[in-house]
Amino acid sequence: MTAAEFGLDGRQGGALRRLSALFWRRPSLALVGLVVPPLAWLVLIYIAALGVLFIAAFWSVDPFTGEIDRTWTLANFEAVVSISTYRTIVFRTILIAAAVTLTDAILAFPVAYFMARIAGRRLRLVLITLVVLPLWSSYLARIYAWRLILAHDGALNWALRAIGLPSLSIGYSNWAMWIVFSYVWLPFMIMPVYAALERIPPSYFEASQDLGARGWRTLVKVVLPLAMPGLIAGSIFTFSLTLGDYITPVLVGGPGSDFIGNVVYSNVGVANNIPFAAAYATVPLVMMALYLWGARRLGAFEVM
Amino acid sequence: MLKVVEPKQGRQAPERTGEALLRIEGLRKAFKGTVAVEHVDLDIRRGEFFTLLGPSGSGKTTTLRLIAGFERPTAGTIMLEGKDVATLAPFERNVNTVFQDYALFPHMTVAENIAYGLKAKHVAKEECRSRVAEALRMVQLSSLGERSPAQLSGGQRQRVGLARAIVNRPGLLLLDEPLGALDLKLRQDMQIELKHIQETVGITFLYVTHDQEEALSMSDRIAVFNNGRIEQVGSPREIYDRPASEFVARFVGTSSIIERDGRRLVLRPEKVRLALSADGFAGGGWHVESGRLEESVYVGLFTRHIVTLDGGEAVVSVEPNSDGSDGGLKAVRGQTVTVAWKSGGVFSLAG
Repeated sequence: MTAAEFGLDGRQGGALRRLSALFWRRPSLALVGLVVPPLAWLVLIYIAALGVLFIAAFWSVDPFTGEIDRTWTLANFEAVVSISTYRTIVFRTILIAAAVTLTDAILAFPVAYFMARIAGRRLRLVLITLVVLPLWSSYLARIYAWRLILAHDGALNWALRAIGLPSLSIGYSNWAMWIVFSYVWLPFMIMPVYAALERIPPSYFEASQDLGARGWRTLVKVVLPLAMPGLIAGSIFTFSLTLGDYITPVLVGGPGSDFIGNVVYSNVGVANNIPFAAAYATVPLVMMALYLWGARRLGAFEVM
Repeated sequence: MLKVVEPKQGRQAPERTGEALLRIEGLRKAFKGTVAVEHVDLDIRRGEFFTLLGPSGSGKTTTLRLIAGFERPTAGTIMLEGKDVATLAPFERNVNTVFQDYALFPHMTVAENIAYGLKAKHVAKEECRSRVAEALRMVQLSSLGERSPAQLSGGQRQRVGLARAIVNRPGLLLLDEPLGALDLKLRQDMQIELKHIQETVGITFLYVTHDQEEALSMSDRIAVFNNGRIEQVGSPREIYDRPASEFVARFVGTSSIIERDGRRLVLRPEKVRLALSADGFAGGGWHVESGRLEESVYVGLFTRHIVTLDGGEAVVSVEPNSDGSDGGLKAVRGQTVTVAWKSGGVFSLAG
């Protein structure tokens, strides 16, 4: 018997095999095939759209015809900076996004720590499922649920009355937005922090204790710095998701609780002023860029 | 790259008064139904280099972790400097550990790693700095204090781990297979260096290894572990020359165990001679048998022969390759050879 009869002859096989062989001989070809499609998507659809948005921000709308006037002007940006209502909305959005990020970080850390270091394998799986489970249901349904809880005659006040406490009127307010945002984005903070904590070898905890450090020092000097990439990743989610949201303010925010997104939405729709919407939409982009730059300056990415 | 550490002038020689620094009695540790350590009794003297030797899963590492405080014993006492520390937290014990995976904090420089324990104990800044510098000098890394651990080689990381522990001047230093991840040559250099450092600083070392050669070459005394229990405690020579059990005989060094006159004899390969005839073994207390040569393996330093005795047992003999060209046994596989050993060179196992 010959090798060919065993099917061992390398020259056998169809086009697919020849293609594999070609890729094996020319790894650069394989790389091009792998990278070009997603890169094209990213550049053409994503970056280009952002570029168009940015260019449109320098245009204006003819107040009589409603036509877009393509002469360069900084009027939109001037309006964003000089009109106090728009400034207030920017500050409100950033403040609540920051508060939500901080709240989620504080809530997520102990949960993630418990999942990563204390829970057994089965309990850990149960907890991960519980954390992710809300993401399977509609975001709208969950916000509506909070509306029912926080409304004046809602579940929260019913429970407070039942234990003899005065009722709260936090429905339709900034407080309600803070609570709801912190709730909906919490899984996006827990998961990266969990991943970061899980990667810390158990021997680091032992070494710290062995060298005389009590729990607090170990937490501050070893665990937190090593969990920082996870906290930063999570905060990028919670901060940017809050910054860009416009549904929660509509549903649970009170009067005068508009976010940047609401202004953009009404200018694209009702007001038909796309150039101003574009200019206002660059504000959260700039904010995120500043945030990432600041995080980098503080060395948050160094341990990655 | 072995450099010899000069003993510090004026430093006292390690006390070897025989006083027990660490006394362990009736130590037992069970994990969910499996017993990791049982009936462990140990006395470790001040200034000693003491090794826990055993195969993986024999309980040696668990014993070390119980002493460090990373695990709580199920039963038993751990008396360190006269005080029972069995239920104390690791940070309450005058003990430091060198970890197998080094466990250096990656977000700190080498110097910050070494200073970590001193800062935790609120040692004054000036003293802290000089002690870190001294520790770096001791492990010959003076110029690398500002590096990050990721920029160091495995051997350098191991030295940092050692410096980070020793700088705290613990009563007892625990080393958990510290050389396990290094290659053979570096490991041999580090063995000598570790021993030097131990003699220089005079700290009692409790060393865990599965490498019997490492244990024999470094230790003052060795405890051989098997199945969660101690099989034998003794000096390297006692362990090698007078193993207390078949397990010790087989685990420490190579042994052939045969039965003669109802006694189980342990033959060390370097004490078994082979020849083509019995002529050379007349007189001089030689015990002579014959067998068939099964295999000869050339390993550079020596040649290892495997012989089946007429009684059916396999015996290993090593022969130094002293004189390349003509020396050595001139026998081919399957040939009958004479096997001889001196009765003083073998020993019988109890039981």
